Amino acid sequence: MSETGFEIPAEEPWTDQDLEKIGHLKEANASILQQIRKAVVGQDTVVRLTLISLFSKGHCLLMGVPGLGKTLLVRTLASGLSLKFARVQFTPDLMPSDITGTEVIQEDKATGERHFNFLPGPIFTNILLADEINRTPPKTQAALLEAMQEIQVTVGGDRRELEAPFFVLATQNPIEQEGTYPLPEAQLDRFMFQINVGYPTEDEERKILAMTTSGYQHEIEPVLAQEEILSLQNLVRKVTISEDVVSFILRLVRSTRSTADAPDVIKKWVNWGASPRASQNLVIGSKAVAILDGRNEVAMDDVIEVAHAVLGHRIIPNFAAEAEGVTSEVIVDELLRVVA
Amino acid sequence: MSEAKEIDPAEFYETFHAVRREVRKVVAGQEGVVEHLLASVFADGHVLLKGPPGLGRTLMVRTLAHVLGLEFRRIQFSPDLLPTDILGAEVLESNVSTGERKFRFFKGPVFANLILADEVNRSPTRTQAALLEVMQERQVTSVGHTYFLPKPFILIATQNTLETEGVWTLSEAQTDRFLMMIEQDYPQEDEERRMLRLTTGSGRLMPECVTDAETIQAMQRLAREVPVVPSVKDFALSIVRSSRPGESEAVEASRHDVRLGASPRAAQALLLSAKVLALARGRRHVTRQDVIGVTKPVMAHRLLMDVRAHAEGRGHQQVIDALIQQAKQKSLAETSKWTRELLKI
Repeated sequence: MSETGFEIPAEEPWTDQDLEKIGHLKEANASILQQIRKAVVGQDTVVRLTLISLFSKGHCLLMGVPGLGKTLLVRTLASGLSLKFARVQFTPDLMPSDITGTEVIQEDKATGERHFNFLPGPIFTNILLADEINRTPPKTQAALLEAMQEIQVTVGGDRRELEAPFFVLATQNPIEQEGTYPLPEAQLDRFMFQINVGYPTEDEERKILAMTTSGYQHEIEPVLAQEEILSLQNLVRKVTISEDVVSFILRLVRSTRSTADAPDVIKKWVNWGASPRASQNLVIGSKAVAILDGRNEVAMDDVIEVAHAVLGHRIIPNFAAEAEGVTSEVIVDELLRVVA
Repeated sequence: MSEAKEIDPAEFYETFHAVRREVRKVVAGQEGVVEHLLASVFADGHVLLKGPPGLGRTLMVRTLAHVLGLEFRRIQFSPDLLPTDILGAEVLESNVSTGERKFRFFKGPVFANLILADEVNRSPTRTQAALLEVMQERQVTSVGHTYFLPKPFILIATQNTLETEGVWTLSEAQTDRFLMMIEQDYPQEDEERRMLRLTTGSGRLMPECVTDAETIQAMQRLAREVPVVPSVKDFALSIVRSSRPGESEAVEASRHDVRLGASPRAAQALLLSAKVLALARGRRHVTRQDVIGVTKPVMAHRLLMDVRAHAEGRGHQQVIDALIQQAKQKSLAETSKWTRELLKI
């Protein structure tokens, strides 16, 4: 039973209005960066990738040690985009209902009647910073991941929709600590990007000291409104992508899977390759890059810009690679060299 | 009770293919997977889906539920998931006007038609056992009260093939309760290309709901009534019996590589799913081809492979091929001599 009656839906055409919006976004992108610079020193790649995944409707996993200013960065981004912001510190005793909200019994003073009332949890926001997600047991992690995927939560049998845009930034501490629950591979796959946050350079650190230990106060002005962000998110999908670029993405992702014709770097170092979700995220991510730069067509460089963030956590190095200190970052670099 | 709905084979055929068409609007490729999944639904059996993460399983099952007009729930299994998280729990409730207090049962997520139990191998055995019991009994008993699950009730459990820490693999006795095990692999290049166009563009195809719970139950009843001639029954039995290494008719491959063959449940599963396939192919009786069409997913999880075979890279696929081959030869031996001469075998 193999007939090829497969339909591809027609793409929506571009309108002048759309192109105008893209032009506006390019300016907005510059002013967002300007606003963020007021509060955050350096971390340009992190800011850029965060914006890309926000416009792609994806979620991010930030890897980095504590104290690099991740919360400040996300909070600044939220005010620059006039979005609601909440932060949840994940702890070993955090329960799913601490995130999603609970039904509580409330008494009506006048009638003495008792009824259930829903108290929404911190997840009812636009930008959620889930700090140190690996410190919480799997059931609580699962509650967050499900909400991320579905943009809704189920509490007491009732489904409640979250407000759009909904964007999760989870942080994971790479330092091995006692009592941590690292996310398994299948759960990592649900994050569009994994962004590695590194230490600042000496100059940057000097500037941070100057900014944070003096009387310096910053005021963040909102650049984009919530509705604008929503319409731009929908516009991302309309960006044109040529068959060549799609082929490049497929070559890149498919070569990570340990098949007979995989490149040597994969055969030697990789245990498990990237899923089709990786190819999807490469397409959407590079479309968002194009739109942030004011273009309506994806270029090859756009794919390369997001390749590390998309593939880094989806390629699982094998034992030999770990023993020799070959990270997935090195593997992606090598792969880009071989495939491109 | 109202009178049960009846349906004829032509309607079965129409509905089956309408469902398939709608599901394929969002699922690129994976024709075999979709066909077997549907066969399982209409045979009223549970499914074990196996494969790497990120292949769009949730999307596929959710779409299937929508197209079938069934209520869908997804349960993510994790090491700290408890049986009550699946089944539901008793909660103390007080009535204000009378001051009376009593227990009320809050139904868990298992009370739906189509359940996706994601990564069942991440939960400890106690939680798995709770799920498997519900699968079999289709009811939940709590403090002496029995609560029935909605009909139809189909459970689709997934097991990740990725080796992760803290994995409790289902035991043979447990996997035997699943009608089929469907293995998914990464898509072909052209399938992945289509999938990219389908999921990352601005246009959307909306699958429509084409049937309802009542019709599905009627289809399940009809499937059970499809007649099977004795020779086809023997064919199915031969496949199952020759998978057992201890039987005299065992094939060479299973004698070598199989530690435990398929149970009698396998023969039931084989015939029942072949019946659905026959109707889906527009026939009113089961042929050997229908049996062969479902042999792999029905047998795959019922063959306990020897460790040595595993180490030497031989899987159940070779055994299943050998089983089909032998069953074919046996049934040919029964056909008359001139037929064989005509076919030159």
